[in-house]
Amino acid sequence: MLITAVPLVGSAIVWWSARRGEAGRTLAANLVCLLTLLLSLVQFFVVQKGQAIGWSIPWVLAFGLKWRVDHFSAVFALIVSLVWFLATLFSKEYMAHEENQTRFSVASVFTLGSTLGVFLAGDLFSLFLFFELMTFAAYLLVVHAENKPAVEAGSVYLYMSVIGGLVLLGAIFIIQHNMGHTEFVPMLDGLLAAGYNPWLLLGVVIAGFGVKAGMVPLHIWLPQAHPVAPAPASALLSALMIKTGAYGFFRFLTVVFTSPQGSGLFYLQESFGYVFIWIGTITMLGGALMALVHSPMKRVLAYSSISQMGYILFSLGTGVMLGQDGAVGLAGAWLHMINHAFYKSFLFMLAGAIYLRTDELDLNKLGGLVRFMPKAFLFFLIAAAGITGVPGFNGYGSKVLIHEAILHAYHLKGWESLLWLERAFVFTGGLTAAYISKIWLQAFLAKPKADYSQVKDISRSQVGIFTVYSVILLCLGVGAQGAINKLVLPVLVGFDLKAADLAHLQHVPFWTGHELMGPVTSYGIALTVLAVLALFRFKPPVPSWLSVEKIVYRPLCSLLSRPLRQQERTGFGFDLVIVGVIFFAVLAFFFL
Amino acid sequence: MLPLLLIFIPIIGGVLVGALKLEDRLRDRFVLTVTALTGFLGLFLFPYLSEVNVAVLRFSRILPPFGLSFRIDWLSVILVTIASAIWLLVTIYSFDYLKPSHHINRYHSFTLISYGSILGTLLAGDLLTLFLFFELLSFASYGLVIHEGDEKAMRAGFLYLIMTIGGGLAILFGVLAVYFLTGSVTMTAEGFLADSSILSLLAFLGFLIGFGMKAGMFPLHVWLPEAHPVAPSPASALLSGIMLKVGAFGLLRIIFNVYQYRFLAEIGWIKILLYGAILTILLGSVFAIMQKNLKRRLAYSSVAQMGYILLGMGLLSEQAMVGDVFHIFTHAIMKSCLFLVSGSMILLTGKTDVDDFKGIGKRMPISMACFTMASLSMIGIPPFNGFLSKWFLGLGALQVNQPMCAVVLLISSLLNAVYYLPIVINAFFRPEEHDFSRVTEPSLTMLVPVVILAIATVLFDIIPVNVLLELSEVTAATLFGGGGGWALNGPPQQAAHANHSSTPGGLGHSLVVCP
Repeated sequence: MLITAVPLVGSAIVWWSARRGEAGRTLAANLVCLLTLLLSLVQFFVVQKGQAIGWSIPWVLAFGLKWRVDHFSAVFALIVSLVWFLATLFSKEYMAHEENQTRFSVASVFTLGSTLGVFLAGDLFSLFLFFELMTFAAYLLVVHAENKPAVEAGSVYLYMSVIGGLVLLGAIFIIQHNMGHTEFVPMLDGLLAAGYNPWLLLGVVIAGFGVKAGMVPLHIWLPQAHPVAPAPASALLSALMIKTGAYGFFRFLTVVFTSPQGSGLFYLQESFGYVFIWIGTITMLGGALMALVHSPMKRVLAYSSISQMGYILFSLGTGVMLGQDGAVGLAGAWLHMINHAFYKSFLFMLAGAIYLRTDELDLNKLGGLVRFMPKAFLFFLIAAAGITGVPGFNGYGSKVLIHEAILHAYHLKGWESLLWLERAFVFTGGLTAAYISKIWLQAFLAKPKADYSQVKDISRSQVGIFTVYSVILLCLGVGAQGAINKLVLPVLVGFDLKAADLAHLQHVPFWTGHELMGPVTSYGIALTVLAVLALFRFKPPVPSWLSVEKIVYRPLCSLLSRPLRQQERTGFGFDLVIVGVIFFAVLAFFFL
Repeated sequence: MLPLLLIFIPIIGGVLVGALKLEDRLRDRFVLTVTALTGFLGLFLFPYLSEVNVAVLRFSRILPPFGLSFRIDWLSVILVTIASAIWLLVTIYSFDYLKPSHHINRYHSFTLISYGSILGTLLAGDLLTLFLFFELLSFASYGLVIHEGDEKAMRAGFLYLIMTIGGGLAILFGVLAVYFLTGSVTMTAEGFLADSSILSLLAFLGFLIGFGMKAGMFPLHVWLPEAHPVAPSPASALLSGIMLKVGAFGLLRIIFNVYQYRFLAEIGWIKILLYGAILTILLGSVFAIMQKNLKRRLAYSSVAQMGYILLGMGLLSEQAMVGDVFHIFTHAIMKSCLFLVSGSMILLTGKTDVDDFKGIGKRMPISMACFTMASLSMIGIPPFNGFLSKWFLGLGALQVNQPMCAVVLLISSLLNAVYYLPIVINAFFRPEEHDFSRVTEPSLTMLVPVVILAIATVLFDIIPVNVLLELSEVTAATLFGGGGGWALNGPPQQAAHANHSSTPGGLGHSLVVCP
């Protein structure tokens, strides 16, 4: 509770201290984040020792807010506050050239509080409250620049989030009405007994959390909103905020949409999981392909986030589908969530650092920076090694687990489709390596297209922050087994999983030749893809209309708003048409 | 005596303001005193309820042969309280707003008379008293609608007048029919009419038309988006915030205290109201999106929000009724806040269209922050009040097995977002198109009421002792025959059956504890 309250109240302190000048504001923001970090650390150790912590305020919002911290929440609270603290440190220098810094600090600290609230919430109702707070606080971060692209991207983000929130609220209505509470307990059998279609329930939850999670085809706000936000904000949005969607899926698929043993409903979980594998595949492949063809650096990274969320959903789906045998899949998804939080925020801050020096983020215009920014190049290579899963860096551990999980699923089920999905996964790994390599090749090694000789290397404070990141990436990579033991296994122990799989997770064969071949394959594919791209001089002839937004959403919106626009031209006529249509629709619904 | 005082202090005050040509400062003080005094006296209604749940006062010597009668129960008392509170705030706001205006005396006079007649309607104990004050309210508020006196205002006022007279006649027909059927027009706790004859249906329809017209129910809403925007902004705040609720209140009385609600549910007449409400919600929101004029957009939004309230009644579930009563408060607070802020914006910039206010958030940060809070509350974002009413309404809809209504609520929330958020986004994040360099925050007396209202939109969700919500729960329980006392007063109390013999003399005043 306190952990949520500190930043929420802290945002007011930051606002107040801003009157004492910039130094006071920065100090206040840093202190609040540091305090949150320390509290999360304490919480983490407390939870690791014993049972979950619960807390509630019964009088807020008539139903009361509940906090419940189990190992699952505690780990993520720790990661959120750590990354947020680093981003806040980073933002001091980055934001120095922007306006409205006070608003940024306040909104950022407030978003920290509400994001933590989402992870620490004890029931769906509280989760929803913090989810909405986070949506609106993060909006301030997205529109920070206040120019046309920022406002438009912000609007897309805001409306999609509001729709997602409302759909989620619909799900909460159903659950509250039928179960009388909204806590995270297995309730699939209860909901089905009340006569709900399981696919309707799954659809509602997918639409509710999918918007935040950047799931294809609900992702369209993400590649617009993340690049226009200031770099520290995009790091936070991309690394942490979209995780709240994945967190919601975790809670629903592994807890809420399960039923007690022997109720004969396992076939539903199995198909839910299978659906998620497919969603995950589409998301990761689509995200990676789009990342490959775009040239603004932050946009590439934003699409990369979509792709990485696909990995998480993919692995989660595998775990859910296998039920008791799904330990590896769940572990993979969980570890990947942690890993992605670190390397994606790292990459976005690097992009910010480059932008700070060059005022340019278009990969087709950058070039040759290695001569002027060698330290940045080094750090970028480390981050790239993290995301592409080079052995010894953090992405490797989770990718091995995901790969194992899908193969495990294939061996157990024997479905041909699973083998193809495995190939898609490997291919996406290759695409990931390709678009990341494209960034450092174009930005650092290619021939300079402008004069960057005046560009200085990154500042000392940035070096400090990035070193912390590099150490984390290396620790999580070299000590992948330790990370699994400390961060992942305690979470999985609570579930009904086979002991053999859990034992396997304690000794994952990370350093065998078979697994080490994975990254080699990736870079092999990457080399081929890059060769093809090079044919087009890294400007592939992709038509500009090729996006889900242009193909699906824009026509839909204009179709829906056509009567409204017609009315502007023709006067009153179209009112009556709408009136008639709605009237008959309502009548038909109630009398049929 | 208290109800009489409550009603006639403002009415006589209003007549005095109109008759005496007081000097400006003196007049403002006088108006403020009258409003504050009435609101203060309104608080003394609560002692009636601490002993019994429902008190009925009869004054048989006034207007014989029927006499006036007043019914003091939880519903009326809390509505009187909320109306008085908002009235006081809006009055404070109106002094500075009206300074550059004309006919200020007339404005205040009509406002006070409206105030008195609203209190009369809320406290009325039988249908005739209700009708009497309802008609008085219609004519007094006509004076507010046409205040500006230009052609647009006169046309809107004429439309309003015609429709309101028609609605009044429909109500009168209903009253007569009820009297013909039962020989009584006095409201009772359980309702006294359960007659399935045609006449009874026609009477119900008459009430539905009359009160529904006042409440802006589709398709009787047409006067509303004409009349509210042309009135001066404080008057629009009162019209939208309080006066619409009087129509809803009348329907509540009809459904629960005249007819028996179980009867209405069984025979299915309530469905008419339900479908009307759904149409009102959806169409009100859709039309609101199409509006360019800020105040017209707000007025259509009022139509949609009144749809929520009508929906809550039409569902006839206790949980929905909690949300319903709570939404009556919530909407009163939010909408008066929105109208007051837009009044400041229009007064200071001279612009009226939504698109004109780009970048004004930089010039009027406090006002626009209040506007944002009220908008978010309208959309129903937690932790604002609007969320709580939506929550109860949605659960109530599921409770009586009408999931479609819950879906309508969610769709409507989205539509609310579509027409409120652009105003906020334009104000804060778009560059200025017009020259607002001389625009600043309005004066303190215009700002403070707005800020108080904005704080209230979030306050009644997060305070430990949520007075408004508990009151809503008690009211819903009372309406549904639970007879529960206020939770803060200990265990629920049953309405005591104690007849005080009428004291002779005076006004023939007698206190009857209602069965």
